[in-house]
Amino acid sequence: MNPLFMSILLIVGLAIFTRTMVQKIQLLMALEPTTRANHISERIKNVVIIALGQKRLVGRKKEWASGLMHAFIFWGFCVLLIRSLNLYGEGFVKGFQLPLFGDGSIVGYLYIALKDIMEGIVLLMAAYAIYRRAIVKPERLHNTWEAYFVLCMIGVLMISDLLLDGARYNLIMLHNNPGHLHFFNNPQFGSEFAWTPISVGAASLVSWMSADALSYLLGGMFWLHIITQLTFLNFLPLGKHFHVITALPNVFLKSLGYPHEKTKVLDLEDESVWEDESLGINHIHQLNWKQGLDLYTCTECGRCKEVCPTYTTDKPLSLHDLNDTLKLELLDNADNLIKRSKLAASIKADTDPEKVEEIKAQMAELNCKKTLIGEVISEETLWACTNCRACEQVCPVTIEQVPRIIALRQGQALMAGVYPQELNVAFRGLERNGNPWGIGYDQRAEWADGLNVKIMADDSDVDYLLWVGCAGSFDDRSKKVSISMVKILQKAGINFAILGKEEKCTGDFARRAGNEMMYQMMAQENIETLNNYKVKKIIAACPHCLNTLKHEYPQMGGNYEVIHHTDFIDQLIKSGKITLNKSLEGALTFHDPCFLGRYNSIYDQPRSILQGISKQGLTELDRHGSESFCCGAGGGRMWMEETIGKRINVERSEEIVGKNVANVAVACPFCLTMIEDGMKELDKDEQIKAKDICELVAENMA
Amino acid sequence: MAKILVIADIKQGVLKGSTAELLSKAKAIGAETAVVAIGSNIESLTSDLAAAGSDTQYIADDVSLELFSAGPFASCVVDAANQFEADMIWFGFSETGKAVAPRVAAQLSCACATEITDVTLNDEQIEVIRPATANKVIQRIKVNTKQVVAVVRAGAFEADPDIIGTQNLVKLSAPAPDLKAVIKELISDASGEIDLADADIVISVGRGAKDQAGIDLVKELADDLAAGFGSSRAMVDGGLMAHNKQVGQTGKIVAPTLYMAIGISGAIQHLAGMNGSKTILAVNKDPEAPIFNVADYGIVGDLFEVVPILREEIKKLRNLG
Repeated sequence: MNPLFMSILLIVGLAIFTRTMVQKIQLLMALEPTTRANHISERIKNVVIIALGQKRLVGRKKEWASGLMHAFIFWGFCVLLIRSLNLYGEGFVKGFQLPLFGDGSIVGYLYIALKDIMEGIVLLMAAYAIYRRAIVKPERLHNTWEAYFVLCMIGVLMISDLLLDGARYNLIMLHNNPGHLHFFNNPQFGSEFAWTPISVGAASLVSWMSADALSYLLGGMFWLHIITQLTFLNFLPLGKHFHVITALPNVFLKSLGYPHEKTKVLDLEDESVWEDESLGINHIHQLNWKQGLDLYTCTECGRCKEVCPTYTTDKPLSLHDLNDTLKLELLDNADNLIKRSKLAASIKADTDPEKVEEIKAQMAELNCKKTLIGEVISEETLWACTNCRACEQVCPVTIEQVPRIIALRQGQALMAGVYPQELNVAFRGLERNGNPWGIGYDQRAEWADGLNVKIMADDSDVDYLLWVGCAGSFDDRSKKVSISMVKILQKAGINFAILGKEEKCTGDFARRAGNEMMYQMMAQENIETLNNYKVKKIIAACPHCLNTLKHEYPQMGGNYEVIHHTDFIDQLIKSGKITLNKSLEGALTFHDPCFLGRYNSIYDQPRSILQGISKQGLTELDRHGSESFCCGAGGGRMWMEETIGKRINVERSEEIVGKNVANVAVACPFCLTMIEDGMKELDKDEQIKAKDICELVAENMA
Repeated sequence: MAKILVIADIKQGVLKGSTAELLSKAKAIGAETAVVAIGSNIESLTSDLAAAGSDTQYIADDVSLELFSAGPFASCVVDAANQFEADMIWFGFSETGKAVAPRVAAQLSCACATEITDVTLNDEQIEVIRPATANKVIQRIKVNTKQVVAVVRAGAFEADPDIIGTQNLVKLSAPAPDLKAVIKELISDASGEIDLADADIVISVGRGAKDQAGIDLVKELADDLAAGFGSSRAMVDGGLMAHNKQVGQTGKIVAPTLYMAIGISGAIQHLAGMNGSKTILAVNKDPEAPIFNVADYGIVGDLFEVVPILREEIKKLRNLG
């Protein structure tokens, strides 16, 4: 076309883009370190399934239409990358063909056919996207001019390319190809236009034009396409469309083995961390680079807030706003942070202690001044989160919200000393009596009196330790669950024991409320006890205990095989040690606990048990499985007041009531309390009975 | 003879009983006693202070001392302690005592023991007893400074009406004003209701009361007994009671002499807020309600029937008395 003009466009377009990207990357590199360069094959698998396969977009039944829309635009762009390279080549050399994709082989023909069809689909999808935003207006979407601008650019890209080919077709077929334009015409596969129905369709729209006009149209569309593409490229990093570039790396770098980055075991003995106030996150520069990348990648799709138990009950936490606010704070401090990291690098090279002090002082000057909680984000926002992970489960680009919230809470609890005061009662209870209610630790095993349950201190030669948990030990309602569990284990002839007085809270809620010191205290004491008895296998009746014992204690030297009671009971049933009689009357539903489902992927076992109990089978709630709705008690919320908006447990209980069931099964003591309270609140506690799965099993054993 | 200075606990111009308790104890262990009273227009209390068991009354009476401020109050105590050459300085258990005691100890460079339950004196060697780690252990602490500041746990000592002192008034000069903290305004609970944490009797109402009529019924019982009026979480969630009335894990923690749980089933969240009460009485329809596990007295019945009878019987007993 015009090599000089093409060169100028490319140099300017790419230079600006490179400059922006270098800044963005420098900013990430200025943040705290974290390790993600491992398990490459698993990471590639994630990219293929979640990013390329668009699993979380097309895989959600509720939103399959918009999911497909996005997926096709994405897949279309992937396909059209090759076409773009071809067009850039065309800018320099007339009739340019990429090796492999030329007219010499079937690949080239197949490609132009695919490209043609994809352009049509992407155009349709962009139109649908605009219609959806402007007319349907799903509540979760954040409608900005940016979004429309990008959709329009996508439309322009497709139309310009189709018209380019349409003009070409007309010039070649109707006007005898005056400019000797190149087109595929392999005797074996025929004319390229037999393969590109959409372009031919576009051609018919401009068939009325003269040859001269068509030549101008062709040139105009070519340059329009190139200029739009370069504008598009440079526009991406400026806003939410940065995800076009960062989503793939973000998915590649996602946490493995556990659904999100595990809370770091902070070294609380190190005096310097207290002096530098570097525990948790109080300022934006304390994010790690992956958390920064998460912020770059947020697409503002709003799925997170749509499924969030707090947002849907009118709490001030809107995860998408939280991401956006933090991103702005990060970008506001970008220059200082980059300077700061350069100074940090120079410290390493410098050995003169005076100089080092000087540089340190300069670095401190460049620290972000704003305290995140209070000055950037409100306290109510931070403490609203129940850690239920619904947001992370639906996020198409695998943003990890919860670890960041925990780190911010650590900053508040450990450094600022500002946190909901109700927590103090529970913390004090842990400290003194090893349970959040502060009930005398000596009463911990009283529930088991007369049940003939072994205590480890008397006899530790057992196959399993039954981890009872605080609720199961002290709460009258949950004690019934513990007793049922004992009945099941005794019936199945399992050799087990409990720790009794020696058991303490695992520290789950303390950790999630940011009190890492209290968590470590509990964890250390429990691990010491468990290792002392050489415990290998643990059955836990509480998903919070399960999660902490299974995933967090190994960080501190406690390695056990931990099984949730539903999993264990399911195994007992399958191996014939327990037989159920399908005798439960009335419809039955199941409320998936977050820490069982989303944290530990236990969805099938509870259902398999319940199918064997209920005469009528299992009725699923609208929000179930991986999209189950939290009861409101996770993340330390059990020990805080819920004063803003609608109560989460009432919202969930209403959903259960709406299913016209007589029984609701749960598998977590917190859920049991919350759902029962919700039923009382709605005056339905007589009609709908909330029970733990093991209570139902104990009542329906043959 | 050891010399013990007791800080008078004065609320709204009235001398509180704890002052006599501390002075009685001081005399009982054979010490010479003095009291320091700080406030405005309090000289008239001199005879009361002597009757409570003090032999010397140091009085700092000044308009500037009308409202409590830890700095100036501490200066007055230090002034009195120096004049009296006190070996021990005792505070009663109160928020003001807790705020002033460490300041006095710091200014006198001596030890400070909080929440003590007993004191012994052996050959000038002071020993204090205090419970620790939620009453799990009892500490016996030998004090190795010459003087000691102690905050006495509420109810640790008993007043002996037979122990009285002599009147010997010493006026203290007003201390320099505290420039670090100026009291601008005193805000107190405007409702005029009895504070749950201070109340000797607390009556709480739960879901069994159903609605406002039920609440009013129980409130009348509370008024009869001049009791603090609390509630379970359910009533707060239901919008029937204010959050500051909630007794429980995430509300107020109370430990009154008598706690009445009316129509409360006794979920663990509630028990955590009141199971330290000396005597617990529960009224509930459901004989299986967990509240009966912690109650000393239980009445199984509908509160709408039980509460009127209770009120009636209490009235009868009062008339007899």
